[in-house]
This record gives sequence, structure tokens and C-alpha cells, in this order.
Amino acid sequence: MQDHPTSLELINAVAQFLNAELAPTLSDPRLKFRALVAANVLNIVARELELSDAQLRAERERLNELLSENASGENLRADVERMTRELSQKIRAGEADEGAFHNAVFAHVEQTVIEKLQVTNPKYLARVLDETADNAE
Amino acid sequence: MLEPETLGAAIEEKLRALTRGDVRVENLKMLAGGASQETWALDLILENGAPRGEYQLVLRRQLGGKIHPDALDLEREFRVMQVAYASSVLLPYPQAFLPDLLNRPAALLHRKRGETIGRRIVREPSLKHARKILPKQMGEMLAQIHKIEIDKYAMRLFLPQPPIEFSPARWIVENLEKNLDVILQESHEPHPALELGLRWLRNNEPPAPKDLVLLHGDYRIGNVIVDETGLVSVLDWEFAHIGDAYEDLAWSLVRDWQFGNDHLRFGGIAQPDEFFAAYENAMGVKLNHDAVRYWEVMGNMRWAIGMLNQAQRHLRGEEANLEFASLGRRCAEVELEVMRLIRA
Repeated sequence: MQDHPTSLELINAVAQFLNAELAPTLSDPRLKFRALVAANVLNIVARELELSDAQLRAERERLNELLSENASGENLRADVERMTRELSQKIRAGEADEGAFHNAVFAHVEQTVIEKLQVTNPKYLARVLDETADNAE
Repeated sequence: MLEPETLGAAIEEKLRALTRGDVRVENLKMLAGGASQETWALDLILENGAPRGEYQLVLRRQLGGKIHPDALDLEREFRVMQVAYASSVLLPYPQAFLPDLLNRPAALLHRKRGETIGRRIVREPSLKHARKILPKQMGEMLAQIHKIEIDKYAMRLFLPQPPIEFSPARWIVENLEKNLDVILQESHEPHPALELGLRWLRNNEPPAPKDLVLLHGDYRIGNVIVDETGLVSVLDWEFAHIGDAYEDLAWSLVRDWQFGNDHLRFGGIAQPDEFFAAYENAMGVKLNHDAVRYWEVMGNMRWAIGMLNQAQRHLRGEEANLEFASLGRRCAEVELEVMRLIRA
């Protein structure tokens, strides 16, 4: 077992260094922008470390339901990837163009995109979801 | 990396032969570099030959790296710029094309002052007035581009265009689908949200327009020079092609070109009404809002797949670039937008 800091804590430390210490000292705007991009990428990795296991489990459950399967392998990601490829082929073939299957597929895919954004850009996600809620009112 | 002295001497030598006079290159400075292209600023002094004078220029040089698959090479882009300039479109004067500058094609363009960075154009306090008039100016300027007589300049002979059997929309959908398949093969990464988008585009395809026009191909905030007085120049012509006018019209509504100001759908600076009205007036047409919506979905799809392509460029080692790499993860933002737009 490794000592502290954990990988998550190390990543957070580097992100904070880039953001708070390095970026403000850079006078070349392009370099500064890249330092901020780098910090942001590390924040993504940190959120992924926290969320990915639960997200992949939920995604596999939904895919099992949609495709009437029972995948439960050791390698969660491999299961999700295989079933998502299958789902994508069905969409491409026009099998999800309408009806109940369309609605179920749409809801699943939208939820999956939302889960990606919980990792990659939660602020943007919150803004878009707020907007959608406003329009529905 | 290429030393400025080497490049400056090469430019001087080329132009000395062309002008038969004295040539001095001063203040040569790199503005941007990449694997496929680099951009320099320079001042050029021509004496005792013809033409003579002092010019503030930008030099763009095409490098060996693979360019974007949909992009024109520098020579064809330069030709499009010459046609646009002759047709009263605002853009930096394309002054010279040098087919062989240190073994690479290069172009000299006049240098214009002003802001090009989208994030700043939508926020900078000094550009408040510009933001007010830009929608009208950009609508009129787009009409100016779309009025260019493509056959007068034989543009079909050198620009990408839909094959005879496809409408412009169908042509792009087919290309996007092929592109997505390449990404799937390389990364084993399926994108069901984009597959849903492709189905929607196939099932809602609009009829082919009566006339095809010259499209800028990347017309939006971020690819224009802006100063306090508004629009100065239209840049980045490498995605020019022939197609449906709505493609250009809807492109600036793509959410990522709103630079975080996403309550203002036209490039993060205004609602699109004024932009459309100015275009309609200048063009003498009435726009169809369903068609705008269709091409807005298309634009978001094009950019989503464009982001995946940029990430692949990094992953393949064609161009090691952190920003390109991070675009692979930003694609989900555009996927959400596509789903929001196509929701029944």
C-alpha cells in the first residue's frame, strides 16, 4: 500500500500549483492558457477517479436492460464498451428511430452524456440543465 | 526550429528576384506555430524596384505535417482569398503566394490590427459598441461572400463540393459518418449520442437548395478581426467549399462559438435576429427557420466530430498538443447540445 498523499490528492496538488502559482506568473498569454488547460485536465482526472466506478456500474445496468443482456464481467469498462458499440450499430441501422425503444435509448444516451459531463465539466452541465428547466417552466 | 534570420534572408532573396529592387525584412516574429502551419509577423521594405513601399505583413507557411482532412492547402486558400478580396469582402489583402520558400509554400498577407480571440470579443469592455453592430455587419458580409459568382471564377474546378448524386446536407452527413467510423476503428470508442444525431440529420434532410454558393466554411466570432468600430476582416478561409448557404448561416450559432456567453446565441454577443435580418436584406431572401435549426444540428455535429479528430491528431502523434488532447473530453459538451436540439 502506498503512503499519503493518495493519487487523487497528488493530482489536486499539481492542479492547484498550475492554477494558483504557475499561471499567474506567465506573461505569454498562449502559455498561460495552456497552463490553465493543464490544470483543468487534472481536475477532470481527479473527478474521474472519484466517480468512474459508480458511473460505469450504472451505465452497464442500463445497457443490460436496453439490450436484454446480463453482462457482469470483471472488466466493467470492457462490458460497457462492447454493449455501447452494439447499441450504436442499432441506432445506425435505424432500429431506434421511433417508439418506445427510441425513448429508452434517448434517455440512456442522454444520462450517459450527463455522467461524462459530471466528470469533464460539471459547471457547464449545471448551466445547461438550469436553462432546460427554465424553458420547461 | 527555423531561425528568424534564416527565414528573413529567404524572404529577402525571393522578393529581390521578383521586384528587382532592394528588400528588407524587419521585426520578424513568430505569432503561432503548429505541425502543419506557422504564422509570422513582419515588416517589409521594398525600395528601388517595383512595387515599392513599406508593408506590415503576416507570413503564413505550410509545413510538412498533415493538414485537417477538410482543409484547403495554402495555395487554394490563397486563391479563394483573392477572389473574395476582388468581390469586396473585408479581408487582409493577399499580397503574394510563394510556392517555394525554404521548400515550403508560403503566403504574404496584409496585417490588420484588432482583436481575434473569441473570449475577449464577447467580454472586452472597449468592444461594447462593436458587439452592438457586429451582427448586422457580419450578416451583410456573409451575404457579400455568398453573392460571389462561383462560375465566373471557375471555383468548382478547385473547391470541395457535393457530388452530383447528393444534396449538400447528405454529402456532409456521409462524410461525418465515415469520419466517425475512422474514429471508432482507431479508438474503439462508440458515440451513441452522435449516432442519434446522424440519424436525425438523415431523417430530417431538407431539399437541396436551388443554387449552391461559395461558403466560408468557418464563419464565426473567433475567425474575424474586430476593433472598436466593429468588423475589420474575415480570416481563416481554409475550410471554404461549395454548398448550402444555411451551413454558413447556422455555424455561428453553434454553442461552443458563444464562448461561455451562451444566453446570446449569435456568437455570444447577440440574439441571431439582427444577423439574419441583415443577411436577408442584403441577399433579398427570406430565411426558413427550420432550415436554420437543421444546420445548427449539423454544425454542432461537425464540431463534435472535429473535436474527436483533433484529439486523434494528438493520440496518433501527428501533433502533440495538450489543447487538442483535451478536446476529446470536451466533445461531451457538444453531444449534450446535439441531444437538446434534436429532442422531439
